[in-house]
Amino acid sequence: MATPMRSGATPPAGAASSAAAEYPRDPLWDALRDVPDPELAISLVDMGLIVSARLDGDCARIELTYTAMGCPAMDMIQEDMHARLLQLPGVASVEIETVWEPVWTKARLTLEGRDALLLSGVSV
Amino acid sequence: MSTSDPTPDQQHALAGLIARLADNKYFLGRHYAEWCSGAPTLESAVAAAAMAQDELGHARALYPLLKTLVEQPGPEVEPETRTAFVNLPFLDTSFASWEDFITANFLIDTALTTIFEAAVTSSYEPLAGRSRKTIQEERMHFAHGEAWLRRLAREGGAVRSATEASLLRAWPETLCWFGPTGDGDPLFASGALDATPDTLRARFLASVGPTLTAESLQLPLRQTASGAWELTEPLPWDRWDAATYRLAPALVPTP
Repeated sequence: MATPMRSGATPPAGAASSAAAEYPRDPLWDALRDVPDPELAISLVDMGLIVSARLDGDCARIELTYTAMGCPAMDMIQEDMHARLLQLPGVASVEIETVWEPVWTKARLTLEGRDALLLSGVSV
Repeated sequence: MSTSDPTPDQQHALAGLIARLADNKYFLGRHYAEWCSGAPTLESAVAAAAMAQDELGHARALYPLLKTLVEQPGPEVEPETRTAFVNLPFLDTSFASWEDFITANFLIDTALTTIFEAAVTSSYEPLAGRSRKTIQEERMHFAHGEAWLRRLAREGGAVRSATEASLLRAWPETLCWFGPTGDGDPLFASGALDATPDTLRARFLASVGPTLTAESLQLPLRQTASGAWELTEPLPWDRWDAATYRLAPALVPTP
């Protein structure tokens, strides 16, 4: 179902701050667009936390990063991802791997994400 | 070293390195957190909270690696059940003062970062990946420690004296923590780190030396004519334990 999209699909760390990331449109990525960051009114995808998403048989395999290694919402985010992805037809299980490469920077934000953060009063 | 074929010695050395990094991060985080409501300014209290969260996150990312590096994973690979911690002695107890906090922030945190910088291209990929993210987060920690060290040094009087005393207490154990002098370091030989302990020490001195010297803090180091930094006193290797990379307490001479 989903096309594997690894870090090459997104701007590299250190890209110009004016650049905005774009991510694939397919059922897995779109489902993850429904999952908000628990601390901000912005989806995990727009926040740039999803590194890759692919379907392996009936298992959704996700590579996920965080803005900080001490993110206190890690468990909550993964639980929300599990719940949403298991609603998809053809998905029977979810495997989430935390990765620290690519290193998260503001260059991983989408345009929508930047706008949402600015509306929330967060400098980008 | 490829992660598939390390020698037993290299595997053991790598497990030791991960344990040392994780334990020091863990206790830095815990002790930083103790100052979230006791720091001298509101801004530094917020910084203490943020840095504590970072350090505990770094530890949380490192401990799982131990499970893959030791032959029989048991309670010692989990921070909650671990008892054989190998953190620096300076972190054995809570910081007694804000000067101790800044000593840990400026010296010990920077020593840890020196290791992560040497692991960015590590042959052990799980460490390389974590190192890049850790370094990104540590930039703010160094800026905080350096700014506060300058501030404490410029206070003069008892504050400056207490700062120097705290730095001197952590100095030898921090310098020895990089490992013994000489060739044959298995972490360098395996490519887990890109430098020998001596080179790591030199990099560390180059990081902290300019601030210490600019503030005329009396630490045993100097800058040579070539710009390199060197120690002016020998390190107490007779007190160093190769198993834990810790120094035993110095004997107090009897009067």
